[in-house]
Amino acid sequence: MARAATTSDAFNAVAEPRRREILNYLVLQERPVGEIVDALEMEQPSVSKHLRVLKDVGLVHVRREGRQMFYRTNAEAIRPLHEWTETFERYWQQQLIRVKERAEENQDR
Amino acid sequence: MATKHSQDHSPDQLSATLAALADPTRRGILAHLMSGEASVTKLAEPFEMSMAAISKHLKVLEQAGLISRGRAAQWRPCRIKAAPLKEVSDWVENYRMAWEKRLDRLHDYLADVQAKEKKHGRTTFKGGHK
Repeated sequence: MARAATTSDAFNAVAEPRRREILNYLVLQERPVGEIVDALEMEQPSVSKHLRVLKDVGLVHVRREGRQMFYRTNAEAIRPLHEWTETFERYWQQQLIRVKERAEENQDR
Repeated sequence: MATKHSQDHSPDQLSATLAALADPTRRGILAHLMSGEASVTKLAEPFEMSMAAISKHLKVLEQAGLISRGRAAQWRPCRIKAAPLKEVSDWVENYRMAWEKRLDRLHDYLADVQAKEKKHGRTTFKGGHK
């Protein structure tokens, strides 16, 4: 049961350096597949495979225009990732404060 | 950057961290550990899972370097290791900022178009009158 969740999980979709590269490239503007292939110097089948994973979790949207497929990023889909990192950031800030307090205590001695 | 040789067996830390996070149970475990160290029994409580299943998740987290487990105490407390998680947080934040920048550019563009339309009067074609 824990296994089935991973492929449809946004974290899994971005757990691949090439897919993060594609997202970072598409975040600037919508692009046809061919341009992604050229710009990132990747094989077309590999790009298509990565795009499918990103599309399945909603991180990218696709639109057909004639014979070309255009891909763009979808800001909404990053929300589950962002919500988790917000929780983490609160924890991280607390830790920083704690470290600082401890350092100050040591200085006072 | 990473050589072809190392790519096959050891993904970069960020990818490994994200892969370990790609499971709601493991994210739940980490969220719990943010409030302090805990035993396996304690961590298993909110989940309807066997101890064996929880242990498996803990092993994944440990291998990804996201938790450490105490050796001294018999109950082997789990503790969160935050540094790799900060990397994830930074990546998400950068990605979001890139998005917002793009939206800003779009707003600027639209404002520009509107300004130009105003300047040139009603240049948009409304209806069919000539």
